Amino acid sequence: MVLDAGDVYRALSPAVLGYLRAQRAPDPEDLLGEIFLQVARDIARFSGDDDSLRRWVFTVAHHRLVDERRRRARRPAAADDPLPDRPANPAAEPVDPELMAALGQLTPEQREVVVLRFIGDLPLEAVARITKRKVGAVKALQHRALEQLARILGTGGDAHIDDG
Amino acid sequence: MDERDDVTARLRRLGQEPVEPWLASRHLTAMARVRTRPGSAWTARIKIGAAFAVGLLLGGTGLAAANVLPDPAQGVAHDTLAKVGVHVADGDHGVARNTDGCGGTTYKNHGQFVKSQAQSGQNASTAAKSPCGKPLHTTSTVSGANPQSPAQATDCQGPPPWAHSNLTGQAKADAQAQWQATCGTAGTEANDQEAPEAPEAGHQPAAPSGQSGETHGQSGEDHGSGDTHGPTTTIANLPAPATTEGHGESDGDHGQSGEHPTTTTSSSTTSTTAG
Repeated sequence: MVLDAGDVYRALSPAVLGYLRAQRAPDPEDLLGEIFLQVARDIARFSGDDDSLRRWVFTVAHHRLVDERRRRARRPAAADDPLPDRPANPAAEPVDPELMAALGQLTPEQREVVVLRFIGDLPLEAVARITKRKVGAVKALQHRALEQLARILGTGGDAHIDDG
Repeated sequence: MDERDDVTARLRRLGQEPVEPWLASRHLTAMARVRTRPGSAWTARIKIGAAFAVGLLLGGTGLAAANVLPDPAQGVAHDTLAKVGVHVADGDHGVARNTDGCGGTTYKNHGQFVKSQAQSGQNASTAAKSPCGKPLHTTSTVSGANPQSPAQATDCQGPPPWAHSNLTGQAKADAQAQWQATCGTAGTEANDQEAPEAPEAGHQPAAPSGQSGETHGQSGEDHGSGDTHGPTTTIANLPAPATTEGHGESDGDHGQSGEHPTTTTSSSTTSTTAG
């Protein structure tokens, strides 16, 4: 089966972009482009069904996000860096600011699991493979994350949004 | 439980928000320019490795066939390729080396001889002018003498055969006749007087002396220039220049005393200039 990278982009880019935004990736739109450029380069070497394809694309996204964070950690952006030459896209605002703020209060491990599991729409096994954890550990992290999100969003107190 | 369902539903909606059209267009355009990598990574690595191995094999065989590998590698290539029926030269073993002046020691090449002489405290420049270790065919060609077999060329190097022996009478005459037939007339005439003197420090190795300056005339002058400018074999091939006389004057002692490197030069020079 010959896969078209454009079709893959149209099918999975919303989930990947949501994953990047929920993970608070720096410049998620640019990172999305880089991820699908790599997908386009390597798609000829991929073989598998739709579930495998989704897992593969999110694996690429996960690795790219980790790389990007490491790169930025090594070279933090200077305060006098030039401003971007294009204005920020107003549509890039998060869809659910309250939920995004609540995700920000989770631990990185909890957030990673819950984002891959529900925004990426991946099964527990796939999340376990991507995050290199056991399925039981993923299930426990998911449980605690959902519990905390429900508490935050249910009460509304902890989910108070300062940054809009 | 309802709260959890609500949370998961809100999370799923985050992953369904469509990408803005301008952003999707930009990404899809960039993706269209990307050249895909066909095949698996392992296949590509195997292909690269195979190509490298084949190139190494062909290159090594070619270098071995051209006999330009270092001697040990050439010997290994010779032995290995011989097993599959391919014949290549066996390193430096097939090149005959001059053994004159080696003092009974076998040297791999001229450089090794010069190095050993220098390390043992001998005069390196004197050793450099010795034919020891030089390829025989090279010596023959460079000297400008008649094309000869390696054995014959060796005979024309250094002192004549009767110089270091006590040949007398008919035996000496026979040796001179053979020398004359092989190397020309000058050497015979020049060296029929006495054995060469022992070399002195800073001077050239002993060569036929006595009347060599007189008999050799020009060759004595050439030797003088050879002392100044380097290998006499090069000088031997030059036409008799005007500077020859100057060198002959300045090095007149050399010509008179006969302290010249080899008789090969004198003979070849004589034959060149006379011819």
